[in-house]
Amino acid sequence: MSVVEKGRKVGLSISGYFRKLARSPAWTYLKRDERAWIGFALVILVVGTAIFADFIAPYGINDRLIEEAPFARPPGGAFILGTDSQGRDVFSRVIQGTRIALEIGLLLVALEAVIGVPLGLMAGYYGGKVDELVMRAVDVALSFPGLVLAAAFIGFFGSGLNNLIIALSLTGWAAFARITRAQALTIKEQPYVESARAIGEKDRTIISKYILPNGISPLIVIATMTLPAAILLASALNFMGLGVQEPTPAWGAMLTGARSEVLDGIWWTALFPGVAIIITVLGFNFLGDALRDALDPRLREYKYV
Amino acid sequence: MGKAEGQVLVKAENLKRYFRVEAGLFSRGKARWVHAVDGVNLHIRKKEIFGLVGESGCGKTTVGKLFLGLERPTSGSVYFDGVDISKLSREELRKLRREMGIVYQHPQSSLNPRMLIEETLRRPIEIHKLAKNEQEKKRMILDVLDEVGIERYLLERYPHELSGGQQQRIAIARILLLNPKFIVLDEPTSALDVLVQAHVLNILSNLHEKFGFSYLFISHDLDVVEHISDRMAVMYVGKIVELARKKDLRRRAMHPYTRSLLAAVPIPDPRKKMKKREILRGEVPSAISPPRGCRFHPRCPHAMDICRKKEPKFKDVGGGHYVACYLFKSSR
Amino acid sequence: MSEPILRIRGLKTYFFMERGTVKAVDGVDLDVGKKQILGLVGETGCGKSVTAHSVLKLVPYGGTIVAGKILFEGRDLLKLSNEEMRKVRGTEISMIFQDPETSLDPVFTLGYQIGEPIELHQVIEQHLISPKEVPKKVLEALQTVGIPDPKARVDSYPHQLSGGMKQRGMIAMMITGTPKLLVADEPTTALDVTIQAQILDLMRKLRQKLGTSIFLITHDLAVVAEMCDRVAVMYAGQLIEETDIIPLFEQPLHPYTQVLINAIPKPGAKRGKLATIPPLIPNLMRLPRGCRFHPRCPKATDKCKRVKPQMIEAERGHLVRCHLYS
Repeated sequence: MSVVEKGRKVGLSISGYFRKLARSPAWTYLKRDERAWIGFALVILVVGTAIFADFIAPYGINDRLIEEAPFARPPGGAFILGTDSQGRDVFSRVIQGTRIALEIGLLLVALEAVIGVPLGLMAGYYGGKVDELVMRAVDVALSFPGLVLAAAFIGFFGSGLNNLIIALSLTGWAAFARITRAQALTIKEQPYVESARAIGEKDRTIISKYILPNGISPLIVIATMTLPAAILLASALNFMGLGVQEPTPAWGAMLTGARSEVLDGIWWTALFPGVAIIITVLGFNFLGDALRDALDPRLREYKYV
Repeated sequence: MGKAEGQVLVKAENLKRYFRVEAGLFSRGKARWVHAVDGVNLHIRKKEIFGLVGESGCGKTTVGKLFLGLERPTSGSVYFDGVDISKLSREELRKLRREMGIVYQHPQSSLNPRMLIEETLRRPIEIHKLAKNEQEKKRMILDVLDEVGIERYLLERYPHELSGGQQQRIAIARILLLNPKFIVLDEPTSALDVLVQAHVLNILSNLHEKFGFSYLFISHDLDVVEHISDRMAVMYVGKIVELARKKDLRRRAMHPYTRSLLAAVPIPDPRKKMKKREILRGEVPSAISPPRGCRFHPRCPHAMDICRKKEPKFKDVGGGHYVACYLFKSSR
Repeated sequence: MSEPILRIRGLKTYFFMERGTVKAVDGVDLDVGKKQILGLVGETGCGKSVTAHSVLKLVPYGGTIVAGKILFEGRDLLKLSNEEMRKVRGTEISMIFQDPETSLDPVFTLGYQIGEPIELHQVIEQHLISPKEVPKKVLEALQTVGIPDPKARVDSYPHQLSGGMKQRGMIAMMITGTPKLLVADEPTTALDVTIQAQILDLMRKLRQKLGTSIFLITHDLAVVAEMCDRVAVMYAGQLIEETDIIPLFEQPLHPYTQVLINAIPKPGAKRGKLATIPPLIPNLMRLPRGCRFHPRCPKATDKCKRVKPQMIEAERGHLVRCHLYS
């Protein structure tokens, strides 16, 4: 009985969510926004590439495919994007790099949200000392130049994917905390929050059922926009040699290797990882922009055909 | 008249609530205070509808929130069924919440926009564990829907898909589930059109008749308050200036403010245009630095010397009629 | 009555939306006489505000005036160019809005905002007065609307003024050109009763002093009773009754008007027994066949479901759109 009960309730709330989404004006607006479609298509392309990387990439990432100099061959023939100075297939490496980029982006956003959102909710809802404490921590986090702090952290604890993500989240959570707090501050003044108190809801329930669901829209936007920023930051760190190490095919790290070669006329080892970064960042940014406009009722109003 | 002088359910004693106004960034310490509620005494009896009228910013909404413990008084006490709720802990107060309820002015913002109507109505039952099983929950919800005349298919909707009148009836239904003793109605019909207002007022009256709730009906609309209340009070800048049975308040209005309020209300009868009636000059003073003495004296056509110096007492002039004005003598 | 100052004929203002066409105003005929106060009442969404905005060709974004004539002193405003229309606004026809909070610009002083239309219309366009006279005109306008201590208030910013004062400021701005017609869209809805009484009184005085005609849009029948000479009742985009003020309250003909008047909580009305009808809001995209009111009408007959009623003169000067009187 109780299991059935639970299933029914969960089913109701999930289907309810989608029904609400389908009926919401945000969705109608989003459907009409070409940025959303371009962004969505690019994101699908990137995510699809990451998932099926093993099937798409014709060669292994570390296969030395060229036996004799020059190892770096221009695009064409068997190697559609050419080979790098170690004779490895650039196309395969760029494709496999998608995985790393998304992994960094998603893990980082998740970590930042997990730290930032609850802190922001508590600061905004309870106010007073809790707020003071969280906001001072936010100030501190935001006053550090993120990239330098991350570089220092990696210098201290060593490089690698995990350390890279932790290092970037040291400052990144603050944005989530601040936006969430601002949301909580305005939402808690709404009569429906007071009426929840008036029927005897506990603070915990008020935060989870009344404040968070109503403040989620900007958080989704922030998450969508943080993801490309994280990929860019990670690329920068990788470019400086502080992140993921060779021979892992991170796009930023690939650029580092290609830096000196451009002058020798070997442009393809630098161009294609760069293009991959641009496509990914652009896709998420388009989607994020469109979401922001769609979820902001003030921008949506009077948008008739 | 010894008519239905029932037991007192809620009582406010010298109730005060001041709000701090944040002074500017560089003038900390010089905080100023809004005297939102400044010494209110009143009681509401069991099964009574008590009306509170006043213009915006007079503190009437704060009185309602103080009565429910949604605001804590700066000083003074609120007794609910004999218990001083201003001394209760947050958790004790939370448990007391099933005895009382509140309906707000803007129905669309008093319902959680991300909750289906069904869940909105389910919450009070779940918080206070009012039902033994799922079937009982369902039955309770369907019962209150019938009470307020809402059709069942609306349970699967979100608040924004309902009209204002429907939203307000859902807000009322949610309170009915708790079967409370006392309900604060804070401008419940002010945002509604006249036909919807009539409908909601009828529902509220019928529920009162049927379940015997006590209401505190707060509104700026004298006609609406007079229509629904048993007794009513007029508030001006944080204080009650006059309190009477509803028939007496219009017929035997005493306080100059009450009288000018009555004169200002447009009457839906074109043969009684207000041309000849006196129009009150000036504006409501700031509650940050209310006038000394009687708060109404700067606008009062009958102001005397004493009005500017000393605050008039709230006195009984007989027949349950109270007024705070020097023009009238206490009956005792 | 002499020649009306404003004649609206067959006005249709539609909103074309993704899900369908909203016929907000669907064939309205209305006259505002000289020095007359004409009231237009109805519930939220009946199209009364759109009608008012259409008169000044200030239809909210998405809406279009698709048909009709708006004759102001014989000139059809709908045929004027935007530039010509701009010159009419603020000089010959002015509009007062519901919310004084959002109608004044927060970054300019009251004096500047009242002075700007004077400078634009009377100094630059019509060369009536010299620029030096503008401050004097501003003070005069402030005095006319009864703002206390006008010299000090000239330099106040809107946030330093109370709601009633802002509404007076708005009105001051609107009467600087001594307009012949004032369109007031719920001018007192956002105000307290004592302030409402002051503003209504001010509007009556303006009519007396300047001879302004007023087209008053409101949902409040009590305000109508206080102010108007003649009233039109609007339902679902159409007028359903139009008559002088006293017959409207004493012999309302249309069943909708009757319910509307009996739904007001009047002294003496019994608790729980206010007149009301099913609270169905008409969907302006899918209007019912026949009479638009028939689904809620307590007196609906079979004919009402099939045949559209026409506006007829049931009694002298008393127009009604209902089969009961044909």
